[in-house]
Amino acid sequence: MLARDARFSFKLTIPPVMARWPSARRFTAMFTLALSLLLVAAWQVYKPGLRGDFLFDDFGNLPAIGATGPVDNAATLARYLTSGEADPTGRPLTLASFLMDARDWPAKPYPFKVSNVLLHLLNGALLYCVLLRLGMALMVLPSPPGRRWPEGPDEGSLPAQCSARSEPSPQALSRGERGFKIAALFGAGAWLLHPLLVSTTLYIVQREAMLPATFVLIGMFGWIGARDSLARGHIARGSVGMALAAWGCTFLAILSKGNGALLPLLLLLTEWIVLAPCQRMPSAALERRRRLAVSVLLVLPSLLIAAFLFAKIPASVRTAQEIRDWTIAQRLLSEPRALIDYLGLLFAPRAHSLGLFTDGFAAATGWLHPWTTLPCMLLVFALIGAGFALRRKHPAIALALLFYFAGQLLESTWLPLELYYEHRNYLPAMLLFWPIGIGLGSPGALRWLRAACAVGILILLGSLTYIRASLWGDGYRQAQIWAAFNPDSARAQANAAQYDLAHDRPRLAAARLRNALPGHPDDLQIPVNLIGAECRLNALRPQTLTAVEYALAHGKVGSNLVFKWFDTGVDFASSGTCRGFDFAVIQSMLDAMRRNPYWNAWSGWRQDIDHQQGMLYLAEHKPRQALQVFDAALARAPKPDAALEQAALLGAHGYPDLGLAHLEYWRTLPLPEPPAFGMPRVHAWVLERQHYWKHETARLRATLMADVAAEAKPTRRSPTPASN
Amino acid sequence: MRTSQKTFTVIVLTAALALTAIVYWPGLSGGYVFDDFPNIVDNVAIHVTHSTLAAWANAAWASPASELQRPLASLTFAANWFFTGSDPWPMKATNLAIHLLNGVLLYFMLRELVRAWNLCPSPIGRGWRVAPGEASEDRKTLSADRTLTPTPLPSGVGFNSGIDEAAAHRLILAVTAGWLLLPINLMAVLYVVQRMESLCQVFVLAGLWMYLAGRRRMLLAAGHRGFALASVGLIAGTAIGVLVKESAVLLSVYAFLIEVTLLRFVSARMMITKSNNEPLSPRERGRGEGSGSAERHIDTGPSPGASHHPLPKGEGNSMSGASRHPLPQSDESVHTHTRDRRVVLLFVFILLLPMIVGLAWLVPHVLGPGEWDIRDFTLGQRLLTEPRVLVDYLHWTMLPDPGTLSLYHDQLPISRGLYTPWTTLPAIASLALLLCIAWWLRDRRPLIALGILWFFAAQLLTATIVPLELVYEHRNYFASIGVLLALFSLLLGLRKTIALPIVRGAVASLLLIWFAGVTYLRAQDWSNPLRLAIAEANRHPDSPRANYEAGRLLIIASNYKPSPALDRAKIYLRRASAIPGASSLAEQAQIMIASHNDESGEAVLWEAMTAKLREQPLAQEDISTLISLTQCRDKLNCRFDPALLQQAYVAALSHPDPIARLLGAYADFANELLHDDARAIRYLRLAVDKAPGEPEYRVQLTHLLAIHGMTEEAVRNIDRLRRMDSFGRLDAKIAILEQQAEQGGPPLPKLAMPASTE
Repeated sequence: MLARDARFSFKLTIPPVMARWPSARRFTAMFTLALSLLLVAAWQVYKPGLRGDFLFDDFGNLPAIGATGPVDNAATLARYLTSGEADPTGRPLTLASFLMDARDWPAKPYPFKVSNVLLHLLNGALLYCVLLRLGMALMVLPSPPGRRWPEGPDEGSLPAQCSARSEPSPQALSRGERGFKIAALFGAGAWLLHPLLVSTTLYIVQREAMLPATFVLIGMFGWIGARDSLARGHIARGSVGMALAAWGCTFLAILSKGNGALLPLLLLLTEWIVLAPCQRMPSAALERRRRLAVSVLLVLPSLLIAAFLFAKIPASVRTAQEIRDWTIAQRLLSEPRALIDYLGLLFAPRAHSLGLFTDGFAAATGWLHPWTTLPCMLLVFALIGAGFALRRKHPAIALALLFYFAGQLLESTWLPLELYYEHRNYLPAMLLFWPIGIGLGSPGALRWLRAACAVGILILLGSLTYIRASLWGDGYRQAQIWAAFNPDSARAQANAAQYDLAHDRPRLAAARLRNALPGHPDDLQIPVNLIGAECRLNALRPQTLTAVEYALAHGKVGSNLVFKWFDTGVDFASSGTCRGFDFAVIQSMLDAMRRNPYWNAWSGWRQDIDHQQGMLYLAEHKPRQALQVFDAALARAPKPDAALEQAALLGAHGYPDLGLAHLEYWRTLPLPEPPAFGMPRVHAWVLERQHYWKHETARLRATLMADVAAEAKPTRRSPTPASN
Repeated sequence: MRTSQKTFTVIVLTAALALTAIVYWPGLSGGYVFDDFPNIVDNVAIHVTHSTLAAWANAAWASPASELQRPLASLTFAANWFFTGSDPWPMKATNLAIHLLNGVLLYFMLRELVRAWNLCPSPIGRGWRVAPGEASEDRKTLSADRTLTPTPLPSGVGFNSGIDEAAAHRLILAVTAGWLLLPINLMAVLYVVQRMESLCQVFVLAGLWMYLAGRRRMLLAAGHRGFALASVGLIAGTAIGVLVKESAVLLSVYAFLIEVTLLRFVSARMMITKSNNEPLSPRERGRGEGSGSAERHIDTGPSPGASHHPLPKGEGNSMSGASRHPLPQSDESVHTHTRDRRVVLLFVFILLLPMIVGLAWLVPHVLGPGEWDIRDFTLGQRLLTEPRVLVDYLHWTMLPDPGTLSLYHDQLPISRGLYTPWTTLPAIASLALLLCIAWWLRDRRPLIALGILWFFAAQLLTATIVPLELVYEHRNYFASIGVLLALFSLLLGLRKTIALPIVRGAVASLLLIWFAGVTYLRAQDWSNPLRLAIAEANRHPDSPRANYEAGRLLIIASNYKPSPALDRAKIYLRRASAIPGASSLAEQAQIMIASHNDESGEAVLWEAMTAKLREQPLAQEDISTLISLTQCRDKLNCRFDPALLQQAYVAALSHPDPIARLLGAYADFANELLHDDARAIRYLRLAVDKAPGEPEYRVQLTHLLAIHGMTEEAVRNIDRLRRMDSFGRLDAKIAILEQQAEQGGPPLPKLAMPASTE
């Protein structure tokens, strides 16, 4: 009886039966080959996308690589790794991963894209391993009768899928093994080849979404393995393994992106739905230990996440009011629609989707505005309900559904992020295709037909991904198609117009922007780019200037864009290449900005306006006024980078004495408050420790003094300190 | 199937196929006719010369025939064009090959039909059961392979296993041969564009075959394989068939009628329930365990009781036995008659629900305003006329003669009331009678009932509420299977011995010979386009299309030069234009002749044509008239005053709610002949609004907008085009339009003017 017990206990998951079975090795070889083929296929379908450009947010994040010089020494490395501002953590692991591809800026996009695709392949392989282990867990037999722990649930309540009713033959086991291997292969393959994930994989900056997924997968794999150890009685190894898997991987995932904090919750779901019911601990003592581990390692962090989310509600409401066109309530109404849309794209993929420019996704303004709001919400609740209801009978479906929705908890609830992004599905969608794989791979009737179906689906997904990746490999065409498919997205229109301009088609660009302008009067990127296009056509219209002023006075978003664009604008005005665009126009734009109620509430932005005003005065050769507004700007927030930049600007325009005066003025100002808790604080500490500002200030001061000394021939150029 | 019988079947089938090829052979050398022109010859997108994905995609979406585009049919035309160019011979040869393939599929489908039926019980409680012992000793069961022989089934159950195998084969082969040779089916072979019909039926027949094979498996064994096969057959057959022509949606209706008449939705369970003293069949136990063991059990070969199977009343077997030998009521299997819920559910999901959705979509469409404007009949008149048409179809199918069969049946008078013409009511009554007979016979002679019901089902789309033209022979391509099935069942039956075998055999043989002869004669007519046209015109002096076609081909033969041919052409054209309700095509041809030769009398023709355009409902042919005249004036030698043509356009546009093709044609006219781009843009915008999914109008509109500096609107339209640009089929056009938009051009001075009054 004991021997039987041992056979029927947990060990069957790595079944000695199968190891003895002659074709087991052949199986393994066959599936390894299939997995390799899948990875090669994934590489091939992604290949045409590798030649694409940097896009959109890439420009906001990647230039940090060279911000304080090439990353070729420890000091720069420390500055770079701490320079992130995105989460409280600053996502240093992701930043570090970019160093694989470039160590200075500007760089070429190709190596970044190659790394992203390789990371995607790694994730696919990891997913296969995780699904294989989960499938094995579902296959395992219940403990034989008479072996029951007092607190354990009834035998009869075991999920139907994870318990064989009678003693299986080696053949049945082997069939079952083939079944869950096919399931794992299909589940991983469908995810790997899914076209919806192209916009994550080929969008360089979304490595931020891919790396946490890697750590989540490693965590899941590790957790299942550590659990095995525990079940075999290796208490110490099991416990440490579980802790490493749950906490260690969560830590690494969070360092990649905040989303990784969901790992404990995802592990908890896996444990609750599949592992705990199907893979029981062989003794009550081990079961108690497992429960302890689950409570401490999984439940506790999950509760912390929940507490964090709830604590964020007031701040979210406030932030949304400041920077978004919608309220948090509207976001909560809209997200179910977005989720159903994602699911639609996941299960009925198309060659073209919204792509990156999803700002055309309209927020819901009521339960039935648009009318799909309420139905989508009901559907989401129904799916979540189904996840709970099916957890005994169909644990794989239940896990896939609940895993999906749990994976969306951070980004698709009330944190005031933008409404819709395809990359949010990268991690949550991982298990979605696995139940289909189980259905297609399980032994039974029509096996070959189902296998053919599985291959057919993978080929279809691969083809769609290939089409989409080809589009990603051709920036101009991609911009045009996105603009055509997202007529309501201001970003898509502006992006296409920029490509038109880059390809010397200013008339098309101007027409596109004029078309978009009435729909987005508050959106700065339309009129600002329109000025560029009309200047190229040498036909700047007064209406365009009015539109810019209106957007500057009323827009909520786009302040960064203006800030970056202003230098170009001032250059434009001083060079006189664009008729009708002169200093007076820039002055009236600055005045419009000062009227903007949203930006005025933010002191950092007022500082920016003063800074721009100073730039304008410099261009107009009014150095005294320039110094005055620079001083005023600095007084609002006396930061060293601003002070140095302004002093350098004064020097570069031939007023080194004023630059020195500005530095002097800065010295009289109180030190800025240290940044709040998080990576910015670490960054400040690193700079402090390296005496970075001290050195930079000294260098600039020396240069300015040299310029003053050589007053007879004023320099036009002096070194500009790199800002971070 | 015994070897000798197999050989016999192969020989007969091969002979039928060969004979079909022979009788059709002369017709292959003919030319294109009628709708071949807009669909193939004049459809530039079909003319694939370089194999690129964009070219094939463009070809796939090039059919002007329907909103669903029929991509698969278009692709086969394009493939023909790619390999052999514009030569009609390979096109027709391909059609013939498809027809022969359909013949083979039909044979296998019918064989499967009888086999599956053979496994089914007789309907219970309808008084037609035959007592045990009536079956003759040497009766063989109809089955091809031993593995699926249902012989171990318990005796005393009312299976149709008494159907005589040889007789059934005789019937199936007769139907197949008859259908292959049937003259009415010539239209789907020699009329190139009707490949849409014949190719579509490939998938219908294959789907039915699969369905029946699956059903047979369901009747033999538990498990889901059979059901999966049946479902895949119906769903895939419909899905692929619809890519060729919409008629494929009727596949599940045909399958449903098979269930209603023959298979009756029964499940395997009823045949294996405990009967007499036999223990529970392994098949019963095997439910859910997989089907292997069940099939193995069946494999064990014939049981002693096999030869004593009761005989149902087969086809050809008149009322026998039922009253003399009432069925023992103690037989439990009689009471365990169960329906297979899966089959019922399948039809709920693939027939009932789609039908409800389809009707919900269709009914508002056909009742909507303007839908019937392009026809000279209303919905009510169509419904009154179609019964007469159906009676004609039956006549043309069963008693074909070269004099009545025709490409054109547009001379058919429309029924405007129950007695006008007087044949309307009798036609309705006879069809109703036929349906009653089918219902009455559905137990006694289910094959006849099925045949009749198939005939009606095949007409569901084209002979009811959809505003299509009234008569086309090719609509009988599947319907004729039903007619022949009923006819030959009546004639030959399924019994080994039939009364008056020589007479019946002779009648059947004569029918086949008659079919072959008439088809051969028709194929001869079709061997030369001019010969065909003149023959059609002479046989149907009331048909405007036949007369116009003869006139048109004679004009082409004369090349507009005064000659006897041209004089004959004028006669036909005058005859065509004099027929009441005829379209303006004949006037157009006469105007072209007059304009080429500077003849007098042109003004009268213009007047007549304009009056027709204004007063008669506007048909597609009328729009073709206007387009041809525009092209003739623009590119060929017509020298008439464009103002006359403009008046004709205005007359055509005076109908409410003009369709996109007319708007586009007028825009083209304004652009080419009036050089009034503002007007062209205005009408192209209307055309684009009317047909937003049709890229061609949008391309033209965008072109005009671009060259007149209306870049904003041009860019909007380029974006719309890009959204329609599947597989890059519009890439080349979009690239040109973008270039034009970037170059811009002088603005349109006229655009600011108020709209003109037309």
